[in-house]
Amino acid sequence: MKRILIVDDNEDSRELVKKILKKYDYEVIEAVDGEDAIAKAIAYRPDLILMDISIPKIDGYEVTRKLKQRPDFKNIPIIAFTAHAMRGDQEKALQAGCNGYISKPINVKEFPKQIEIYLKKE
Amino acid sequence: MFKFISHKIGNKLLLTFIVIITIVMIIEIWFRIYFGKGDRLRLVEAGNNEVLDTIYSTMKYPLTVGDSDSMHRDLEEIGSKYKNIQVYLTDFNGVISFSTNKELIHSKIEDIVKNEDFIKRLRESISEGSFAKHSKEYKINGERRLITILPIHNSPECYHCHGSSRKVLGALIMSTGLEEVYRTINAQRNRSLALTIFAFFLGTVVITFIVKKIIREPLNILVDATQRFAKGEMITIPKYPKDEIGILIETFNYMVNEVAKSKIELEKELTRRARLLEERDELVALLQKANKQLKELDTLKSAFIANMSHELRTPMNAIIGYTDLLLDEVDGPLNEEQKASLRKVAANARHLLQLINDVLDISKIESGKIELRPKEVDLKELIDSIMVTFEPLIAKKGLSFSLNIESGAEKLYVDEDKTKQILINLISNAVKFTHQGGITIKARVSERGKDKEGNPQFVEISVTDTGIGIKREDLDKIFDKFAQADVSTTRQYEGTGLGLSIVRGLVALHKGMVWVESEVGKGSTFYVLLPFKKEVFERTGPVIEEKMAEALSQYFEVPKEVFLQEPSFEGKIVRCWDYTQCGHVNCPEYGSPEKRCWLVLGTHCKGITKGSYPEKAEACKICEVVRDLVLHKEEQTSELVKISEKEKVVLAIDDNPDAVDLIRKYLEKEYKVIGILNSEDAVRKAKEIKPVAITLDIMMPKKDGWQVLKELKEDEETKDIPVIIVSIVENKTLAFSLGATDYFVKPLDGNSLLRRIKNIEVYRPIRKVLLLERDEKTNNDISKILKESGYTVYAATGSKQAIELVKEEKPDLLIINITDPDSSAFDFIDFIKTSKELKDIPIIALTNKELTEKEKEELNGRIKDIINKALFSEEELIKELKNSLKKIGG
Repeated sequence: MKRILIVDDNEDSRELVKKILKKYDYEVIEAVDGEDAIAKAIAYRPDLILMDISIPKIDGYEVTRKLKQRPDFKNIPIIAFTAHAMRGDQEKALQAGCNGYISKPINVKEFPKQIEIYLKKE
Repeated sequence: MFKFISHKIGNKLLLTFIVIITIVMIIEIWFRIYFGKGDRLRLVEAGNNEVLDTIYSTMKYPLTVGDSDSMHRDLEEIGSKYKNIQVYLTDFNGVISFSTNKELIHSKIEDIVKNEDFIKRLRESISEGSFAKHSKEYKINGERRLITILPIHNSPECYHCHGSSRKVLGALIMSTGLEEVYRTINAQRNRSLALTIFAFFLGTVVITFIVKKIIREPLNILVDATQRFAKGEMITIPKYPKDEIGILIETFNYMVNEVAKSKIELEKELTRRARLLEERDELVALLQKANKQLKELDTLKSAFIANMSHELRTPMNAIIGYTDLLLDEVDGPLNEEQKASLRKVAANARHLLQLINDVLDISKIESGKIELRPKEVDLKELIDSIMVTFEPLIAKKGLSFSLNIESGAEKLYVDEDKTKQILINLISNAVKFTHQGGITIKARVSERGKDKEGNPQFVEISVTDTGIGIKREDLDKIFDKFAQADVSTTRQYEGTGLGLSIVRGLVALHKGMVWVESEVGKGSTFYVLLPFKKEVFERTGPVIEEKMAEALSQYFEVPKEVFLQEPSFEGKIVRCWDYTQCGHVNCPEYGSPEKRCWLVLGTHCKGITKGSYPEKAEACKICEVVRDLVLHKEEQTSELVKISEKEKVVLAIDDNPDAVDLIRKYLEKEYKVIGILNSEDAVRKAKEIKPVAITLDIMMPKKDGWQVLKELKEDEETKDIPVIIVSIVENKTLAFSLGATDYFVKPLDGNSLLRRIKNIEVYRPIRKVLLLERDEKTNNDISKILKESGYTVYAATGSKQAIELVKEEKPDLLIINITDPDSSAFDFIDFIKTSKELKDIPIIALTNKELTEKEKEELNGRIKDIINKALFSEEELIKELKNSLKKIGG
């Protein structure tokens, strides 16, 4: 069973993702802010991280940057997961080390497919 | 005193009166004395004669009869009656026979009337009897008397006593005292004198009074009023009797009134103008403030909208996600009614999301945050990828669809995503508003927007539908935000009302155009011009249409080329959205909800369809873009040049503004750094501002640094400006062979750059040398050596000559022997010091001796090197001089 870390300060968002992903047999771990995200990522070693950008304490870009500095996270896909829809936002995410970009709101049908693709890429 | 008179009319008049009175009175007195005396005397004489005649006639008888008693009695009577009169009757011997004074009888008349003249006269009278009567004034015993002599002729009646031999028997003499007469005359004279003096004083007082009342006072009022009037006071004088002064005053009043009237008019006009100016200034200030605020607001708004969009999308995520989950029946089956309701929730949530996305897009377009990434795009592929999403809907509505791309229009050079967005918006509108018939997309090479050579650059894509159409009056509005043509349609056809607004913005970014043709009930055709030539994005202008530029050039009286360039600031092209609305009431779009310049000038306001307003050129006078970036651009550069006269300017040529900024930061304490981003403009700019040094980047688009360096070194005007290469690439050999002064490799060490520039800036290449040396031999020797070394030498043996030479030739170096015996060299140095353009010329001082402290002080800071001639032999001196020159940079 693949383990996915969802980093999002919005509980509804987390719940939604959890609900969808559980249906597809993923183990879902939640983190509510940047610090939590780093701690949980290191503790649980997920197979994929969904990273909201606007999160408290440390923002998503910084969390990604920090994790990607570690050799053990080099190959773990971190997917930016944000309601920012500007073109620059995507680029900033990729620059910070994100492997992909899923913008909110999600398409319930497409979402699991996107996750699958990113997992396969790895 | 004369001043006192000459300054006052009253005094002048007074003086005149006094002189006249005095003259008249003097004449009067003189007349009185001269004629008055004679008159009186004649009167007395006449009286005398009469009395004498009376006495004679009275005495004639008694004398004839010899009645002595009666004679005595009569004379006594006269004597007692007239105290002033003495009467004597003498015989021909002059013995008194009868007299008013009895005691004098028998006395000789000579003893009584002691006056020789009188005696002589009397003798003549008595002896000759030559005249009848004689009267004359005689002075007797100090008393003036009028004496009348009446000779008594012998007549037949007398013969009986005196015989007939004698002709004259005697004389009747009457003497009248004149003192009384004289007293009267003197008294009269004195009265006249007193009268004169009285008249004099009275005249003075009266004239003074009259002059004061009639002339001086009104004149003073007039003078006072005139003076006050001259000082600007609008004063009139109270009415005055209508004499000449009255008329003068009236005229003055009339003049004052006229002046006051025109002054009031003038003041009114001035106030009006001042108010207008004030209003204008206020308005301009208000507009500028408003503009600034709008700009700030704009930035804020953009940030706000971006945030809002994020904040809105986050809950939308949950709404749409959970709704979809429910519809997927993940949590158990739903009945049809529940599903239908949930679908409505989902549809509305998506609409809301679209709205949020559109608002974000608009905000990005308006704030200029969108940067296009144009590349070659296949139009058919693009449309096909779009149509995939529309096909189900088209099929469902039973519409037809056709696509026709003419040859030449297959490829576009555009931003793929944005073009997709443009077409999606147009196609979705077409599908939305069409219920029967179909949608046709056509593409062909456009006749519009050709380049200078007449080659087409744009593809015209048209999206035609057979839908409900747009009313004529709504055609202009549909590209505005939230302006779905009919409010009622908003309900029927859901949409954000932002689609066409976004389309217009995106098309404008592609330098294209969008317009629409429509007929109600028959359908609409939307046309879009999109470029297929890369050059469209590269061209630097014109961004406004030619006829608009012509109109503007006529209005502002500047060449039309000024407007046919893209406005730029400090080498960087400025996009119109850096500037918001112009806000001018004459603006054709004033008051419209859309006041932004999509593209400068030519595409003012409502998108490109209204791109040209030659008749509205005046409206552009208040436009910030026109004012700051188009018209006053030249002034800005000249201002820079002006500053550079005082400051030392370094020209930094680098296509990267950050690099220029960095150089500016490093050098700003000592130099003004003017950056130029466009290397093509570099040489021209260098010529214009004449910097002390140039820093040059190598890797630049359009024209690389090597080319710029070559051109700089080839140009007579710029070849002497030291060029320092600042680049990532390292090729010092090439740089130095092309004439660069130094080479810095990025990352740049700012301090050493500053040091280096300071170093080279001091040493201007020396070509022309002025030599001031009194000793002709030394002068010739040094001149010769310098000439041999390639310098142009102006030799002077005196300071006068030196001053003339230095003014004319402006040499790069002065070599001065400062130990002339008359120290005129110091005069020369003083002259140099005071001249602005000469004071920076370096000086090498030659001396024959050690300098005194005072001399050193005087030369302090002015002399680059001092060579003591006394310490060197001739050969060594020249060597030393050469060393010195080398040090200075020759």
